[in-house]
Amino acid sequence: MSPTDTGKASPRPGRRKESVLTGPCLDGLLAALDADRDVAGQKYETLRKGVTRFFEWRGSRFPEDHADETIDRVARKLSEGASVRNIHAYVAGVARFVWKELGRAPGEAWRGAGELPRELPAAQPRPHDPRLECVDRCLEALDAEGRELIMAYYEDEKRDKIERRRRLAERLGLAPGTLRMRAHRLRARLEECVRECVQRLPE
Amino acid sequence: MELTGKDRLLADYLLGRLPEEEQLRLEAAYLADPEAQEELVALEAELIDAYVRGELGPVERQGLEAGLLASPRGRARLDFARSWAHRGERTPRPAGASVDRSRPPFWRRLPLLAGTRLAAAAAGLTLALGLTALSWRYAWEPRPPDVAPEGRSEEPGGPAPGAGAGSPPPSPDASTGGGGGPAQGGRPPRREHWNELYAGNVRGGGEPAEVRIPRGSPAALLKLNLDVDNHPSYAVALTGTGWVEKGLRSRRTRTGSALFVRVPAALLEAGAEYTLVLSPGREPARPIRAYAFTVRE
Repeated sequence: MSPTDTGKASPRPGRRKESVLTGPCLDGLLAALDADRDVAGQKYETLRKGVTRFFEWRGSRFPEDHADETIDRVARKLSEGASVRNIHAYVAGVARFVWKELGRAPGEAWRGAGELPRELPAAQPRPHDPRLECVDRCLEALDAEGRELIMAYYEDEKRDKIERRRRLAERLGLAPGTLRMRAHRLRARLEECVRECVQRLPE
Repeated sequence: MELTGKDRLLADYLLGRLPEEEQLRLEAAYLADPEAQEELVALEAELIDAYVRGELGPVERQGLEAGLLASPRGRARLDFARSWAHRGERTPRPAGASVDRSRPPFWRRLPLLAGTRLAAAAAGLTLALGLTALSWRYAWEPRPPDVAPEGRSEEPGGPAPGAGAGSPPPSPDASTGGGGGPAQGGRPPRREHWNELYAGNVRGGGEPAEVRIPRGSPAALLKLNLDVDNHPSYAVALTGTGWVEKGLRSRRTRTGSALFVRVPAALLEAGAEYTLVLSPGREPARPIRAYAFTVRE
């Protein structure tokens, strides 16, 4: 059982209780995010995604549930008249509190490590990896420019990586930060494509 | 893993190594800013790639395992990173992918170098220096405890006495440092404790072997038992440190054959876990065995 399954926060730890984020609670939260309701809606999405990441980066197995639990608590506090100067800092504080309640103090060792095979560097000799077919297929599905960029950017050379990427940015006429985000978005597309492809593979 | 400035800060956050105050500041910032979140997610990939390639130190590795890699999305990203790394090593690039090849990885450079006159000259010089150094080293270095009287003779010239004990000839190359240089020439041979390692300690489901480094010893002495020994030479790499030893030759032992490797003690932390990855000498990019071990306190 994961540490996040052993918390004390709810009768079914790790799984969120029914959301209270309706009506006045939701209104209060949105108002705290922005006076413009449409903008507030966008900020809410950013906030929720960020809180989900917060829990992922701590190893949560149910990050979205914990994010919703966090946001519910914040919304409830706001509806009770809590005075909050910096809503994002407040949410971060509540998220930490939720995490601690779940029994995973920051820095604590991952007790579920036995589930994850210890990684070997480079590649372990594997006779056949069907995922590779998906990687190839998804790479081919990218346009030539995207394919070139992602392969050059993530080339598995550890030495001189910074310099190599700087040269690549120069060659493509991009700022290094722009190149990184472009490579990251391409990789995200590739990862999603591979994930879908693998799901379609026969068992 | 080489990171600087803001990347280092973000990586430290992802690895759970930032002070709490800094964490809170960063969290308040990224909860409000989708671009800040995206930057962190982009850095995730760098860390996971480094993890897969064994470039993270033990503390960083544990931080990543305890955090992101314990989450479902982190595991999915790890799966992808493994496949990506695997693909890069095993398959040619697709047509049309004209990537910047101005500096290929070192193992890809080896065949290129091997074809040049310069490399041939360098190899000859290295061999000559190596043979000289080996004969010098033999004057003081003890033999591994259970080495058979005669070594293998598959390579031209056969193994010099003491060769294959995991201690290459003295070299200015820092990667071979710490293994005990020839500074104590003339010292009489003494018995040393070689830690026995067997391939697959990790994957086989058992616990990694424990390695003991005597206090003050400059190196951990590791005997890598070979279940199959069909290469004239080998290379070993220590994960997470960048340390590589090439040109190792196997020696016959009472039970079969083995490689004798001296890993600089300065690279090893007590209580930490490491893996030595073994590759054929002529194909350093093709791992064939892995030897996991922990360093005893």
